[in-house]
Amino acid sequence: MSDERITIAMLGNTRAGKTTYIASMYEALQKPVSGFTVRAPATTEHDRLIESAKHIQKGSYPPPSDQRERYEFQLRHHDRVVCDFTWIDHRGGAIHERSSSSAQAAQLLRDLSGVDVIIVFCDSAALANGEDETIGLDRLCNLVARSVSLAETPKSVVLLLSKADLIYGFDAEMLDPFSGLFASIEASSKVDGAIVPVACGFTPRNVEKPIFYALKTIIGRRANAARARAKQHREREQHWKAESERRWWGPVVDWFDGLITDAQAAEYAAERAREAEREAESIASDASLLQRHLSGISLIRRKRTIADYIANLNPEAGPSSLTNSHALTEWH
Amino acid sequence: MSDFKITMLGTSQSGKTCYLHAMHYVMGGRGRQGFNVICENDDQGQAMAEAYEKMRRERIAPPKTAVRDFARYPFVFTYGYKPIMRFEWIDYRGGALEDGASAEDRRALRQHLLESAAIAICVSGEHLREELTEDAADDIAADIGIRGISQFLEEVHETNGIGPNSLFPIVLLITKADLCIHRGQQALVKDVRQLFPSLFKKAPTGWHLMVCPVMLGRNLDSGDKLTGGTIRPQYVHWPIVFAIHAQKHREKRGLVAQAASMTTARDALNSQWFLFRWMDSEDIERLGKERDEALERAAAIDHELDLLASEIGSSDIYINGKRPDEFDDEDEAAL
Repeated sequence: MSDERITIAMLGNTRAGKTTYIASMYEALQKPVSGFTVRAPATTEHDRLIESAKHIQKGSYPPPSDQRERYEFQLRHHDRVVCDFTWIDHRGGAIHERSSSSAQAAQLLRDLSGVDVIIVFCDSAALANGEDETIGLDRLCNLVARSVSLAETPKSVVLLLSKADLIYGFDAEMLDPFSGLFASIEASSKVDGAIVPVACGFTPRNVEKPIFYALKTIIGRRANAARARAKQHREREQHWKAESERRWWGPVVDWFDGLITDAQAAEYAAERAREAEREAESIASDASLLQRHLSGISLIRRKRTIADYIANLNPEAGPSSLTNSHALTEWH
Repeated sequence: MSDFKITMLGTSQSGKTCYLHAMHYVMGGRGRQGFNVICENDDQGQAMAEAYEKMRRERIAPPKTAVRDFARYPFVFTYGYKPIMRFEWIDYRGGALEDGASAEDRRALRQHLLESAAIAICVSGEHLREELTEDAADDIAADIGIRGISQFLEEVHETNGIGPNSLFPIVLLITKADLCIHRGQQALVKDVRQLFPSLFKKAPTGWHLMVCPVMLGRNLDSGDKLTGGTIRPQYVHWPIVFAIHAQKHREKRGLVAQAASMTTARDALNSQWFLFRWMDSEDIERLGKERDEALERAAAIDHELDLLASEIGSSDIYINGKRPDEFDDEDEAAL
């Protein structure tokens, strides 16, 4: 397993459900989901999140965050640590502040440039009511574009449609404002994206899926990177084997020069290749296990339409559930 | 650091700042067809977004660029979030084009133009509501500062040595196009040709010209209060896409020329007597690799050019005064 910690940032307006989600997600993954759990090594964090989740289940939601919070977690499969990850929660108002005058806004931009995953929170009820401004849609899309374009490393973007229990279902009008975002992700080789409707509280839905998708894509990329390294090492191994056959006088000359022989270099490359292959296999197996829990989400891919995305978000009712002129209830 | 600079020319009230804000709104957030334009200075980007929101909600035009002020905006143009080009956009107080402008204003504007690799010229659609008569054309030419614009363009042409194959991009933006679009494309282009004859002259001027209508919305009142109608920007991404396309095309031509000269140098070394060829074998290999890399980069740019071309739409484009359907073999070869 790679020692690199995965970093996830939540992005969304005030009251979009970020703080509620993280407590609900943490609580939901205290019990194994196909063997996977999430643990906070720090007891104080663990206790605080569990306490918050208990209140949420009783309908008492946490107040909006007033500052940046950073959580350190581990994803485990049975007793084995799959990966360490850091979760960053920003105050919703920070997305609208200028970095030259707000330390939190400046920190937000710094965080976004370095994270592996951005989870963009959009209040489903506000979407259903056409309240683009409440969601801060343009600013969210701009921050995603900035974060991905100006960074060197690939990222994952999860569009988390929060409070999905407050609406009847999703329709084209709700997702249409995101068509520009979808087009950029679809065209990109640097970004993977998914849309996940989530509900916390009395009737939780899909709570574990955003984190499973996020971690699956990152560790999947690490598996591919390990495979690529293995391939390079195998090519080097072949090269040194060929040199060893060509330079039959090599061992003597190399001994005089104090260098390792071509055969030794080949064996060294083979050992590195085996290490990388083992790493790839282990990581790929974890990614594959996580993949099994990703039904009910919509992957953002080329040649998909808004109708295709909706069909995956409304699997029970199908795309004909288009009665979303009003949200079901108020949130608080 | 930007790859190139675009300076916008136009008198006060011609719509330069409104255009910039509308373009940033459309391209800076949700983007279009996978393309985005991101302001590298986030605070500037937020200020533009807020000014646009104010325009949309309260119908108040963005604040005019301050007197003696050139506003510089560093942008990145991306496709699929992959940066394609960085450019700097220069917006300024339109008074530098008017009679009575200070020498300092004119000097500063001249310097920006000489450093620019693309120029955008704004002509307000208010002036094109009806067919231009000769008298009206003279008055309008004075209103939109054509004399000043033409003088600046001549200086750019001469000082920067723009030649027949330069393909220097100029976008003629018909701003507030909702006021005149009812007249149809052909009628508007005819009038614009009358106002800017030197840009449409069928001669090896080196200008690569696009005529592009842009609008903030439909049926809006002109002036500082944008009452009436609906604010919904249209076609605002075309000028940027055109400028980027032109730059990429020049970049590709440079790479192809570079590859050709490497091939010539490599062939020259390869045609030597075998001993000299053996002695120069490293250079031969290096030239071959560099040539292949240049051709690979040119091929990658081809893909980007196709993407960009698919977005430009049916706006009028002219090279050395000719439309593409008027090109002969010599024109094609020069491209």
